[in-house]
Amino acid sequence: MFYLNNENIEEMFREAAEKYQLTTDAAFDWERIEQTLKDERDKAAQINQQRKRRKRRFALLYLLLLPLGWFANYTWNNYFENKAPNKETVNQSHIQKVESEVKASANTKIPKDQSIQSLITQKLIMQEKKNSYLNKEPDVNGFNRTAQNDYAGINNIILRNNDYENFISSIKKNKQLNFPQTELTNASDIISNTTREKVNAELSFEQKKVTIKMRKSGFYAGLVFSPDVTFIKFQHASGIGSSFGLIAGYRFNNKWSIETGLLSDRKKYFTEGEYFDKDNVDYLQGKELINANGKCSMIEILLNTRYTFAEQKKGKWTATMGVSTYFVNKEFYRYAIIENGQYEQSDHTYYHSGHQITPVLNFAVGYEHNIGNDLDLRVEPYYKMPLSGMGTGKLYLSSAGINFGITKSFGVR
Amino acid sequence: MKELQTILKGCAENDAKCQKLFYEKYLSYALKIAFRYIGSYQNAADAANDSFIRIFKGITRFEIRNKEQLEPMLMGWMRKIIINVSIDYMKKESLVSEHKTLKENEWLQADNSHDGDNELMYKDLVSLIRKLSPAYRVVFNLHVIDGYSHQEIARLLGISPGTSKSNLSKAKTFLQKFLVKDRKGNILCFT
Repeated sequence: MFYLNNENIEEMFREAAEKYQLTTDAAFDWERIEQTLKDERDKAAQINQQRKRRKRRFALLYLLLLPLGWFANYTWNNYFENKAPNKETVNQSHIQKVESEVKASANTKIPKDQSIQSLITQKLIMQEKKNSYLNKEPDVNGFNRTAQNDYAGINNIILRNNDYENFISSIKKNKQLNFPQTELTNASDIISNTTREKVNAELSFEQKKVTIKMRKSGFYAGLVFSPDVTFIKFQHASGIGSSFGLIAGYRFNNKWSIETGLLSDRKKYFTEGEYFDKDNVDYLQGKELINANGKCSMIEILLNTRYTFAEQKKGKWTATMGVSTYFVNKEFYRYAIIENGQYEQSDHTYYHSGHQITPVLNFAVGYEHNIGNDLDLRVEPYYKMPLSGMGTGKLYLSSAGINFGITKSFGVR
Repeated sequence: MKELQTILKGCAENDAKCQKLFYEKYLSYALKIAFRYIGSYQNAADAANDSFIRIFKGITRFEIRNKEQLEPMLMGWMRKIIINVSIDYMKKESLVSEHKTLKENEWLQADNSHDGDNELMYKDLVSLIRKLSPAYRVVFNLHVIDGYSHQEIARLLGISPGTSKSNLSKAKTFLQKFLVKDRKGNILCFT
């Protein structure tokens, strides 16, 4: 008799492990499995429901942000318009003043026995008043010209209706003043209409000029940097991460543009153990994960559409929506676990060679300011909503931050 | 093969009937693996049942890459889950010092008309594995029977590869003491 060598033993045990038989009757417990699976399904459905509710709440919040953006734009516009004199209001007030003066003079009934001399004196006073008024005109863009045109119009009408020669000869013939009352009243209406038309034409001309200037299309490119806060299922954040990279886009018109970018992201986050999928981590098998603090570096490729909902002379307000894809390169986790009743912390690093792809939805509302030479500065608060779990723990990373960027336009038409 | 595919599809859709069929078909397989690790029938039964819960939860992740090799691939995938659950179970229940004798009715009765001697020998060999201490038993099962490398074992158990090798060596030395071969080539097992 002799002992078996190693190879004999291994082969023998493998065969025995494969071929030995056990009864299954006492182990059969389908009811327990069925009940557990049902409970798990109910729990999963409940969690899904909660997730959906959260997503809906976020969508609602985003929709509420849009009117906020509009309101901010409105307030901004009002602030600057109040500082500068309102051209239209000034014009209107001057027109009304001139009209009332002309009407007053036209409606004045001149006594029949008034002498020619007094009439001439009155006309001269009016002329002087008109001249002094023109000299006092404020120096507002285009206003002098408009006001002078108004007066020219008034003057022409006055001269046409009260031709000086006819007026003098009529007085000489009749020896008394007999103004055609109705004719003068009509004349003042004509003055009013003509003045309004001229001012309106001038204003609309200026508006058209601005619109033509705003219409543009072309490429742009730039740099963007974003401090970024990452959180999982609305838990607290673990620190401030960052995002830095290049962006490029095409502006179709003054409203719509499409934008892509390549960013290098560094995120920091925290999660309770329940949200971390342990299936991919051998180390966590059989251990209770209390929580995990994570960091990761990844490449982000984005594709966004931008809509300009308000434009000003030097800037514009935009709303952005699109998708990004994360390519995770490296993850670091500090796990807090309980094993055999003992609390422990353990650090682990995972390298993914960028093959893990995670899609997210992007939302942003921001302001872009032109600083000349086709350069624009942008400030854009954003929110990134995850569409699937990311990395080793399949974590749903939501991010919020502010994009600070500078872009240059090329070949803008 | 097609039947297995249908069952798998049903399981992925949470069809209770398909899940039950699957459970009946593979319970014996799961129980045998769990028993080798845990060494107690009742605990192995619990671990096997827990394994099925995990299998059903994760069955959508099982990819059918080769339809011809579907069953071996499925069994390999299940084996990993069952081993993980069994090891978890050992740690959780602290089954370090448990060495219960298996009741005779828990072994499947050897069929004398069909290589009954061998069946008895398999039973003895598996009983020998149960004699090993849990630390040796796990490493022996993982490396010798389930084909894990020492690096994989080290990662799975949270020990160093050196410890894994050392435990395996000690396990083999222990088992050799119970196994001898006579001059005719018959293996004698002293349990």
